[in-house]
Amino acid sequence: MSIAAKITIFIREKYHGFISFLVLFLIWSGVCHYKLISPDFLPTPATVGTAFVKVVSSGILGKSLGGSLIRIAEGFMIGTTLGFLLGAVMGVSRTLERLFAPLINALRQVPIIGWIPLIIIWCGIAETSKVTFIAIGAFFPILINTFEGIRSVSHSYVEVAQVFEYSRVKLLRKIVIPGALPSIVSGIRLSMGTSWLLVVWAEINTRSAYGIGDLLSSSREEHNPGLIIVCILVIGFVAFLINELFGHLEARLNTWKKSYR
Amino acid sequence: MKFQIIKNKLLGLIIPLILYVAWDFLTSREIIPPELLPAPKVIFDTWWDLQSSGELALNMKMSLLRVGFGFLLGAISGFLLGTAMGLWKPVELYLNPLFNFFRQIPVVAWIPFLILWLGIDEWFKIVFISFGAFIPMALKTLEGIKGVPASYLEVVRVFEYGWFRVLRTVIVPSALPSISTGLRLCLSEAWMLVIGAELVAAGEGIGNVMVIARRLFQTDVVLVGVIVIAITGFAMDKVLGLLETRFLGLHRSQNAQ
Amino acid sequence: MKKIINILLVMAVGMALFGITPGFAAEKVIRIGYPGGSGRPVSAGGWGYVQAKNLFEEEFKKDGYRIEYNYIKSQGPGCNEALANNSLDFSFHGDLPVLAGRSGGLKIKALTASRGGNAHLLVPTNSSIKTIKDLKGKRVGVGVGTWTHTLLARVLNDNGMTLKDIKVINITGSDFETAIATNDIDAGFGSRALVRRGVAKIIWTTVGKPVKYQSIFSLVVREAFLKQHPDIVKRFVKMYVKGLYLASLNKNETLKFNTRTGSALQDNIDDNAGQSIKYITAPRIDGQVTQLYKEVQLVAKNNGLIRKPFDVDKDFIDSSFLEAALKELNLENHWPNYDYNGNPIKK
Repeated sequence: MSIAAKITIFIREKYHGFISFLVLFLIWSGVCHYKLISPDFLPTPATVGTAFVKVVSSGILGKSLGGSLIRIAEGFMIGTTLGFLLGAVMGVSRTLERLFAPLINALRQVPIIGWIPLIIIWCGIAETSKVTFIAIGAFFPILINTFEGIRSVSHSYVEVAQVFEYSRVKLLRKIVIPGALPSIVSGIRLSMGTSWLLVVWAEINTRSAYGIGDLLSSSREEHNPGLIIVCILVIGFVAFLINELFGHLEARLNTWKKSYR
Repeated sequence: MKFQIIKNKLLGLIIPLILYVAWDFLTSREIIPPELLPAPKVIFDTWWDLQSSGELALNMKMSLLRVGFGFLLGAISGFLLGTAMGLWKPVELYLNPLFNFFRQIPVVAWIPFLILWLGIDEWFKIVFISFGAFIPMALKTLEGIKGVPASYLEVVRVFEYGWFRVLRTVIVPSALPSISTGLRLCLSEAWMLVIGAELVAAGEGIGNVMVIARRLFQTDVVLVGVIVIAITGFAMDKVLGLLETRFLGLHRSQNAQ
Repeated sequence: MKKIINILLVMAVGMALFGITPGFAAEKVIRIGYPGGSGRPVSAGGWGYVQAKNLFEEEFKKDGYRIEYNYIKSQGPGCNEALANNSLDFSFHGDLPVLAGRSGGLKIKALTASRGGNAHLLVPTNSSIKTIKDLKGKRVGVGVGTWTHTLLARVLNDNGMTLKDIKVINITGSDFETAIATNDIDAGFGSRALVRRGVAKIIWTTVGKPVKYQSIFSLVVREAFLKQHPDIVKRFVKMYVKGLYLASLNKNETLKFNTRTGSALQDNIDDNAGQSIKYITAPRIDGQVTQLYKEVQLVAKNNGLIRKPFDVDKDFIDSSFLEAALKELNLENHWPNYDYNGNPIKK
């Protein structure tokens, strides 16, 4: 199929969406143009555009995103590593599952945001507390998905492996981890998505020099409605990117898993 | 067999028990500074103080009211949008892209915008919570309705059922499990967001108790707050789960007949 | 596929190591904390002179110490938290946070104290609130746990009310300024800058009232740091007293100097009308200061802001460093001691 044909089909199938976005945009511009809502509350599209250009060209947006991403990287890595390891040992050993499950289940009941005041007392308001908070948030989804992924590995595979007298390590590497991988990756996607939310929450509650949550807070403090909208869109866009990226990876792994069988 | 089950349960108590003993030992000897982690007994006493003075009940009431209103507002509107998109193709075609776009935006990003529009009072918190509850509800309702097997619909077409009867006998029952999953998701989301909203700006509420305690350097009260919100969240989910098995259980058996 | 698994494994091991490594970098630094609202991150008064003349930097340069000034947005309570998890060594914050921190188990010692800070109870310009009594049932913005929190409790108690009769909204800094401008809160303690900008008016002020309403700010040090580096603490206090001495020489000069924080000169003059420059720079934890500590603690206890009161005289105050510094600098008689009403005690 030629690209042009693809585009035509795409447009034919998706034009409804464009229409609704267009209508929304027109309403927004109309409301602003006729000053139905004060620009203090609803910025005009032009204001949002200038605010965007301003934060991009001054490099503030880049620095903020960079600051947040570094925090995520640290917290996410620590959280997923610990979560993966604990999930894996709990998945492999029933005794360890029985030992840890009640504790994990009790801790999991705390709504993640509820940790914030405690973490601030424990770790202060600097980087450590933000990273810890993100790590806690990333820890649980990966733990549960790893655990469930390993448990979902079919018994018949394990039996076959036992017939071939695979060593423990070989069993793990050849059967258990590949079988659990799609679930683990979906856990990673969940953890990553959560991390992105939590970095914003963390930065709102404990300020730092650069971070997307700080940009969001300062947009409110400075009463800058244009910047508020820019922040909303940027945060949404990154969340979308994370979802797409990991969703793509997940889908590929799933097809791979099917062909592997 | 029974012995085995008891043994398994006891096994799960070992680590919490060890942690508890360590906690008690380390804090009573002040090896861990009490300002970072108060002793279990202190936590219990503080909880008792807050409970008997009625402070805890008052603040819990405020938080639960906010969750209640936000949850209802969000769940109902989410259900309506989900149903509309599920049942009418044009609505889905035009609104789903918009919904998918807004759904990507984490609720936390809306805070400044909502404060700008609604101030820092009750409305901000309720609308904020309902934003969070709205999304999973709309999503799950849509999923549930879309998930009705096409074969069912063909069968009813053959029998020439009226649309209302189709809705009642086919669509609602088979969409219900997904909808109830949506309800549970949006309740736990609402409970988390009320804490978040109260941390950012509040007069009363359990989140606010924690903020005030933090600022007055009362770590024991903060810990009581963490425990209380965990138990409440757990209890709310359990209650909804019980309702689900009770009512959906009935529905499922009806379907089977 | 194997590659991905291997990468994941390497990542896991790497990150497990990575999680352990931070916190080992031993850098010699002295970390000082201040409550910082919305103004510029510089200090006024004695601290201002210390900063402007780089007194600490020069004193500690030969030992290889770096000086770090931290302006903490969550104010006094934030200073407590930072002290609790060892991210600060010294801090200079208000009476309630210092006392609440100590009562909550924070291991700190008060080295010096400053008196005479003022606050004004503001309402939006178009508000109908005229007296304290009108506050009943209203939303009052206050930095929970800051010194104005007990001030608010005190003022309400004077008028037969308690904190329970109003709606306390925890809000500080620029959020407070915005909220009062948008009528999101009905009242709150703030600075004259808001009056100057025309968004608020003053219905009550500590200026001209008995000195018991004014703030006491204390220089506190972590006990662990004190035990580890008594020598550093000694030199630190000495340099701070030097700054105070510079600030105490000329009132007009100092008030002008204080505009470096972003405050207007006229506001500084109005706020300190009737107070001698010696009074506002005096560093001793004398009878007045300890008496006010006790009073604040009592008010805080009665209003549920402090749960476990402690003995202020015992194991909280350590004046030895200050006295040594005064002696070394020959300033023993530069500042008098003050009585409860803020009058100098003649020797």
